[in-house]
Amino acid sequence: MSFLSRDATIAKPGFNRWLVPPAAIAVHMCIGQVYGFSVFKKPLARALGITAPGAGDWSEADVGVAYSIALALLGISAAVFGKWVERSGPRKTMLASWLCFCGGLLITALAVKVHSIWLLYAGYGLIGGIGLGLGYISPVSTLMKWFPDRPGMATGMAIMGFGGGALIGAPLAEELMKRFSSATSVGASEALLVMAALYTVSMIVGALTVRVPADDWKPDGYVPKATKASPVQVSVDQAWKTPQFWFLWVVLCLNVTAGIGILGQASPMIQDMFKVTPAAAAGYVGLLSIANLSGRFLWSSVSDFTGRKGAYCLYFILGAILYCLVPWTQSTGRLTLFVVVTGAIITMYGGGFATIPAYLKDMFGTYQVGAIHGRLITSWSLAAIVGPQLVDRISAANKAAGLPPGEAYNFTLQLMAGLLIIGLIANLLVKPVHPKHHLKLYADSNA
Amino acid sequence: MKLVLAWLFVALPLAWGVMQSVKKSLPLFGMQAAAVAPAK
Repeated sequence: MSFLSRDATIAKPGFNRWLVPPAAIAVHMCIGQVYGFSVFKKPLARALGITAPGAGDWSEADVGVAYSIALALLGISAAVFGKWVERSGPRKTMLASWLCFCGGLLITALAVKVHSIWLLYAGYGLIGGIGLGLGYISPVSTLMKWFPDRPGMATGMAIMGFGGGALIGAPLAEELMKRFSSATSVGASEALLVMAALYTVSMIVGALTVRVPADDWKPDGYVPKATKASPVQVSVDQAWKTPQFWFLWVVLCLNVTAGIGILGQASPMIQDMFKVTPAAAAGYVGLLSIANLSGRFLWSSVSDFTGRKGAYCLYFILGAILYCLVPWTQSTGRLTLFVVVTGAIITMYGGGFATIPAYLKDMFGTYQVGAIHGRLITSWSLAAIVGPQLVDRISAANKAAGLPPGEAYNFTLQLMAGLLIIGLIANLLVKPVHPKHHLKLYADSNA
Repeated sequence: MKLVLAWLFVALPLAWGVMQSVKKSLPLFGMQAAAVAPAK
C-alpha cells in the first residue's frame, strides 16, 4: 500500500514539475466525459425499440436523471472526501477516482444490457459521480502546490482538460455507437465498455506520473509575496466558517448559473433567434465548447496578473454587458456578432471554473485547499442541476405566453445579467480572512 | 523525451476532440449559403 501513499509520491530532486500538468489533464479529460453524456440520451431511450422508442423503453428524461445524480455526487463526494484526498495524496485519490468512474461505466454498460434504470443511476450517477468528485479536486490541489508562482495558469490547465473531456467523450461515444450498432443493439453498452478501457489507460498513466513536491520545495527564483509573515493557512473546518468561503460559493454558483443560461439552451436558442438549421445549431454548440475550453486556460492565466478578485470583476461586468447585448444582436439580425458575444460569455464561464481554486489558495493557503475546493464545488452541483431547469421553464413559459420564439429568451438573458451583478457584489465583499481563522502551528495541525 | 511524450499523450486526444467540434461547426460558418432554414 505504501506505493499509493502520499509519501511515495514526493518528487525526488530534479523532478520536472511540467510533468504534473499532463498527469492532471490525463485524469480530467476522462472524467470530463460527464459533460458529453447527453449523446447517450437518444440511443438509451430506444435501447429496446432500436430504431425508435419501443414499449418499456426509458424516456430521455429518465436517462438524464443519471447525469443529474452524477453532478450532485460530484459536489457531495468532493465535499465529503476532501480531507481524505488531502491526507492520501494524489496517486491514491486518482486511483480511487479511476475505480469509481470506470467501474461506474462498466455498471452502466451492464445496466443497458439488462435494461435496469436503477442500475444506470447507481453505476453512472452514484458510483461514477463519486469518481468525478475525487478526480476533480485532487489534481487541482496538487498543481497549485507545484506552481505557487502561477497557480491560475496551473489549475487552468487541469480544468481545461475537464472541459476537453466533453469534446473527446461525445464524438468518441457517437463513433463507437455507430460502429457497434446492429439490428439488435444501439451499441451503447459496447461503446461504454471501450470507453472504460480507454479511460483506464489514461487515468492510470496520470496516477503513476503524478508527484507532490517536498514540503520545502520552491520553484527556482520564486520568492513568496508574503515575506514578513508566513503565508496564510486556513484549515477546511475553519474556512467553512468564514464569510469569504460563502461569498466565493455565491460567486461560483452565479457564474455557473449564468453560463448555463447560454449553454443549456444553445441549440434551440440559435434556431429560434436566427432560424438556422439543426446542423448549424450543433456546430454552434461545438464552438461554445471550444470557447469554454479555451477560456479555462486563458482567463485563469490572466488572473495571475490581474489578481483573482480583478479577474472575477471582469467576468461579471463584461459578462453582464454582453448578456444585455445578445437580444440586440437578434433584433438586428447579426448572427456573427451573436456567436462572438455568446462565445465570449462562455469563455468567462470556463474562466470562472478555472480561477476559483487559485482564489481559494489566495484566501486560505494550500494547506487543505483541495478539501476547501471540494466543499465549494457543491455550488457548481447545485447550479448545474437547478440552472438548466430554471432557464428551460422561463423560456417555455414565455413561448407559451405567446412571445415570438426569437424573443422568448430575452427575459432569461436579462435575468442572467442580473445574476452576474449579484455575483459581482459578492466578489467585491471578499476580504482577507480574519487572523483568528489562521492556523497557528501549521506543522502541528496536520492531523 | 519523457516530457514530450507526456504532453503528446494528452494533447493528441484533446486536439482530436477540438477537430471534431470544428468539423461540426462548419455548417454554421457556411450557413448564409446553405444552413439557414427557410424563413417561416
